[in-house]
Amino acid sequence: MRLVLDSNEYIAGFGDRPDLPPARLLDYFLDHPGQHEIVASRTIVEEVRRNLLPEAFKDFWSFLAVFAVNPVEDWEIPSALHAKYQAMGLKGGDAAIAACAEAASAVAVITENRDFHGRSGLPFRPLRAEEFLKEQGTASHGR
Amino acid sequence: MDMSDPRPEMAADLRKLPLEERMRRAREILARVRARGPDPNVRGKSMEEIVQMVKRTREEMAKERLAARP
Repeated sequence: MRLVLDSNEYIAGFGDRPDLPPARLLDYFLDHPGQHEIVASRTIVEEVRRNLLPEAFKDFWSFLAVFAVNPVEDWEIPSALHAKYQAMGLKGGDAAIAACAEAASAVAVITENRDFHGRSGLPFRPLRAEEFLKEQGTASHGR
Repeated sequence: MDMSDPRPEMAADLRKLPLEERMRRAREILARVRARGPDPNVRGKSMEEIVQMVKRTREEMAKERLAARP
């Protein structure tokens, strides 16, 4: 399953908040290697960089590398897709994430950002980390 | 070099490793993160506060992109 993880998942996970679902999400990917392909955009990488200390950002970057994630550059995402999502009411940055997901043919965007949830007509499923884990049958597992 | 890629050559090397070894490295990374404790930027914040923090960054970046347009 090809997935886009939004910045808020990485920031909570790499900021080490074990009480929050994103930490369990990272554990899930470790426990299920090769089952999912993670997609990230340059925008996501930059948002994480701006919100974590350099040490944590370096760990985030290494984590992407071991999962063979090559960030999608903004110029690789068709501007028409970005415009499409803005026309659907998503703000600029959110529209960029949605456009990246569609360009990468991701089946889901895992995000806690409620602006993605409850929308119809998206070619991917917006899921909270807890929802994703529940669907995978691991929501009740701790660290 | 793009400053958002701390060490692209290191990343390229990691991607070449067998899956089992890459997962071992990933566990080491998470163990290091957890041994360090919460990042000051997220310490004490709820998930919603983290979401709002990222949204502010996203808006700032959108403004910067607009300002950079010729």
